[in-house]
Amino acid sequence: MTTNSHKYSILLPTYNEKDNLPIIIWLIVKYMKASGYDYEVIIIDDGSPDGTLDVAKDLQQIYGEDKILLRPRAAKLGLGTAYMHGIKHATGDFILLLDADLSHHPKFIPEFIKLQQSGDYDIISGSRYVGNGGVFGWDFKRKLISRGANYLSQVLLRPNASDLTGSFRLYKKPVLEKCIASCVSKGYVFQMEMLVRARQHGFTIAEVPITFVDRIYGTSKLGGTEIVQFAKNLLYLFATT
Amino acid sequence: MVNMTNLQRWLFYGTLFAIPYLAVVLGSVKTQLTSKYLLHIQLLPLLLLVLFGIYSVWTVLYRVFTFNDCPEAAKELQAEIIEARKDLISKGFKFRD
Repeated sequence: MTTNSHKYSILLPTYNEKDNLPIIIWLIVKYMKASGYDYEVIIIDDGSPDGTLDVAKDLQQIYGEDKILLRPRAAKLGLGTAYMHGIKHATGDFILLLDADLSHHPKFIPEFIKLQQSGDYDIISGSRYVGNGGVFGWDFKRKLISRGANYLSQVLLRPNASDLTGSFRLYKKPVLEKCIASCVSKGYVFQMEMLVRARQHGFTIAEVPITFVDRIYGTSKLGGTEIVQFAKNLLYLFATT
Repeated sequence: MVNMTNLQRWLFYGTLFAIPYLAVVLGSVKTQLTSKYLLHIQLLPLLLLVLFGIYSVWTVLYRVFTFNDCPEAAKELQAEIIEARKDLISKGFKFRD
């Protein structure tokens, strides 16, 4: 068991994740319990029609209201505002972001925390592109798009991190607030802009290799419109940062 | 330098290159050496562009082919999902499949 005086607030924005939510909560509890760190999970459901909120209520009954907090919103309002909404209710001094779709495994969270403490970093970012990190369930085309977009971003934006579009990260609470406040983009590019803003603010970033298992339930969202949106935002950030 | 945007930085280095380049190509600066290799110098931007293109394509393809596949991670997750379902059901949770 390792403990420290910090508390980690894990933000889980959800939309139609009734199948994944119980599993991701179970995994978070399993690995956080074993690591001994103080934590809470804040579920921010954006009015899912599939009943994700009811699932969350059942889980709260099982794991307790001090561990599972429900902070739903009436409608889908975007990731940045979901995080801000979650931060407002967070009692921890560190915020952990991960996707509820099981592509990010909670077993890496203790590694994030350990690395953060080793160098007092402002941000720890999970990376699919370094060390033992990687992906499962991607074909050649998907890998090519991912690597190509990432290379282009590296050349144009000079971030201090290898995985710009990943969303498995640990932030010091005030650092996250500052990064979100300076972000202008939405959707897929939002995560990339967060790290670019972090570089502008001079925040320190370190990386943990993560394995990314693509959606087991449900389908992945990457189409033509996402690519166009990505290119537009990339050029915008290139010209302004 | 610190507060330049990425675009400004590119324009800055581009200008640093363009000034001596244009001086030679347009004939403002003439030496024996630049006259002898004028064609090479004229083609220099194209050459640099092609080299950068080759480097980029090679880098991206290398990274695609060395992108780790993680079948163990998927297998581990599948096993844990089964374990989680069992444990949650034993705790009274009802799955809405």
